[in-house]
Amino acid sequence: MSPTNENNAPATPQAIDASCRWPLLILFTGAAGWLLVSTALGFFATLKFHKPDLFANCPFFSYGRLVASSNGLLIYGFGVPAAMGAAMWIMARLSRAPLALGSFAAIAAHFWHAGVLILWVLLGFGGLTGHEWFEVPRGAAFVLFGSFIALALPVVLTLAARREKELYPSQWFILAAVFWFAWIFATACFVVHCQPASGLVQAAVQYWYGRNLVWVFFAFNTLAIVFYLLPKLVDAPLYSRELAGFTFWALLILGSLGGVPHGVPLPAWLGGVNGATAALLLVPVLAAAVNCHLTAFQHRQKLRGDTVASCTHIGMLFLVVGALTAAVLAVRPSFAPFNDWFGLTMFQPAVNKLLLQGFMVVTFFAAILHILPQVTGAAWPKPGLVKVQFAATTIGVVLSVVFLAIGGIRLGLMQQNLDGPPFEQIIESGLNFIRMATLGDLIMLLGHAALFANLAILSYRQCRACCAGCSDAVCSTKAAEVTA
Amino acid sequence: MNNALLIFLGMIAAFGASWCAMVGQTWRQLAAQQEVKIVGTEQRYPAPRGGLAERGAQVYRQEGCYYCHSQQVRASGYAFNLHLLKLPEPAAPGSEADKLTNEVIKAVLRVDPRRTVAEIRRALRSPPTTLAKLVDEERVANARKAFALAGADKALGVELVAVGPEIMRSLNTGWGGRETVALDYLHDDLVMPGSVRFGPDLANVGERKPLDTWHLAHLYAPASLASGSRMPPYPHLFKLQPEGARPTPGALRLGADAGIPKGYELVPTDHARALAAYLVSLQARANLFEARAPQSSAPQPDSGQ
Repeated sequence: MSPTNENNAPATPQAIDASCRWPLLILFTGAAGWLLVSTALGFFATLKFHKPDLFANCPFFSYGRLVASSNGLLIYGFGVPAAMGAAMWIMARLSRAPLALGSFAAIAAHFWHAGVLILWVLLGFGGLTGHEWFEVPRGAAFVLFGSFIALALPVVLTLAARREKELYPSQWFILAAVFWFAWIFATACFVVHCQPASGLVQAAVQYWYGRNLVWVFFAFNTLAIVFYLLPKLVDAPLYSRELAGFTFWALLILGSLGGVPHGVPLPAWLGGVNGATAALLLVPVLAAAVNCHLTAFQHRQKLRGDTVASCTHIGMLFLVVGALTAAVLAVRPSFAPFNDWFGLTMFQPAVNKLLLQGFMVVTFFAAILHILPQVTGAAWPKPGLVKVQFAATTIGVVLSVVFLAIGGIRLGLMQQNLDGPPFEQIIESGLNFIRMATLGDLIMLLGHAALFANLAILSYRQCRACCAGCSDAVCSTKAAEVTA
Repeated sequence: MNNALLIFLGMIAAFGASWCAMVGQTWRQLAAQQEVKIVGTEQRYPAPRGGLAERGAQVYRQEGCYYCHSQQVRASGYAFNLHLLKLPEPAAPGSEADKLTNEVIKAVLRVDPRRTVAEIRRALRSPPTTLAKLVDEERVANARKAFALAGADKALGVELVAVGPEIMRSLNTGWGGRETVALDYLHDDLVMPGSVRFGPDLANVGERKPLDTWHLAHLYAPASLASGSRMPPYPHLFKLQPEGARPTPGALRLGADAGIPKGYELVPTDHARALAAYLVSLQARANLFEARAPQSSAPQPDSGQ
């Protein structure tokens, strides 16, 4: 995969931005919409703890289906399109080449969102898969897989047509993430929807899938974003390319091995491997965090008050804490068998929330907030809402995660006491923690609504400017794109 | 790292390693499993769940029950049961045998000083007998030493059992008498181990609540059967219809607090029946080679709450 045309002059940033505009607008606007729906459904779900018979007569709103839809929309509605949008732009910018197959990517983005809509409808009608990380019913799975390949193709082809010979770390990370998702998604589809594997094999593969989704696909995409944005924002090179290389390979190997916690009715060695790799995972994660810190620390004055920089900081902080808590949940040293204590308690949803709604969402926010004004050439319509979005999301996630985690720790320790109250009473007495988490979800909902409002206005203005047939810059570049 | 092809090949190697280990090897290992004999009996385990219960697993999936309930009892550690087995045949009967018996009695007394000599003699005549339950490694080592000194190390049986608060607690609450293992789900097309417990573990719910009518009533109005329960009711699995001249077959009789208006009867749909049958079929208690209950006397199931 050497550059196809050495003589080709690097494309200007303006040309690259123009080539990315429509695919990114479609991907990001849809993603923001699904994120809002996902958070709203998650909020309704937690309300059931306080009033169990809420919407009881409507199966669409039963607790299990609400949580499944919320998870599915968060991962496949927000996570994947946001990741692919950021990947397209960063790949094009670093390759100094316009996005390959731009219009094709825009169509693929529509197909992806249509697939997510099918997913949501099917989940609402009870098409759950039985696997928390892979809530993709059969009807949606093949649409999503096809659309993903169509979204990945422009990214890979842009890399192949690069006009800058040197590869930047973000490009490694994006390349790995894109291929990885195609492979793990294909494996999960095969085991769940194509080959009727025994239930135990399906369960084992799903744990592995969830681990790879978070620690390879999402982690790699977010690290690509952070390693690209931070040096840009402070106007200085990345501290160490070698350290980034270490993070890449170590995370690739450790992140992909494991996933099955101790105690699950599956072969015991799986839990052992998971405990070891989850603990070792801290090393590449800390290496990435140190790399970012050393890049930005000297120039921290430049970042003051910049929401994009705050998003990357908070995102990296969530990543480190998330890796630490995930390790705590996976290991059981003899002096403190954490996995036995806190596994299967609310600590688990707390960790998932921290990794997905914290680390993943907030870092993708950084990408969306930075990229969209560049590719559209227009500032955010409501700058105030950007601040609301960042603050509310962060506060909401922290509130929710902290209280769920404390509730889980308390529950886990109380269960160790053999003479303690029965299980049902322990759960009942821990409801206040869930109440606080519900409050956190509500605040988070506000933040996500702010993003969607901002993005909807921006998209609307872009579409109107394009369709009105005026002679401004948006229109002429669009016309150039069509004729090209 | 400027060669995209090299990076790509490295990625394929990393993915291949992960796939072969985590997917391929697990698949191979699980596919090799088959039904086994329950320890101490000729019965095969596990039996397939049967049609209605299998459909019930699909309802369990459709309603997302696995978001609140787990199906796994975990062992957090191991302990040992010590058994007194048959004495080895002495080379010559008479004084040789008496000497061995006396030495074994001494060894048993070292393991458990509270036993009387007469008791031990009786136990020796009808082996095997359990000497001690759930002891740690240190006591096992001491017992081994005592029996080796007596020259009868084959008379000591050491049994490994899984323990932990979940199992010890479950002996009282009926969550399950032993840890859950892969074999328990051998015939299932869908296994939902769950990742969080907002409700009790269901690996063994069929043992503690063996009546499907209990499950049906509980699905319709959880709080009426388990006070303070936060489980949402599932009325859409039932049909509320005016009473006819005679009651519809299968209509539920519920208490006053279930909230059924006068003159109406509650008929469970096929979905509800299947789900109840599935829940009753969830019983993972048989004594297996790889997973034994720490106590052989299982708690009696209660027929209702």
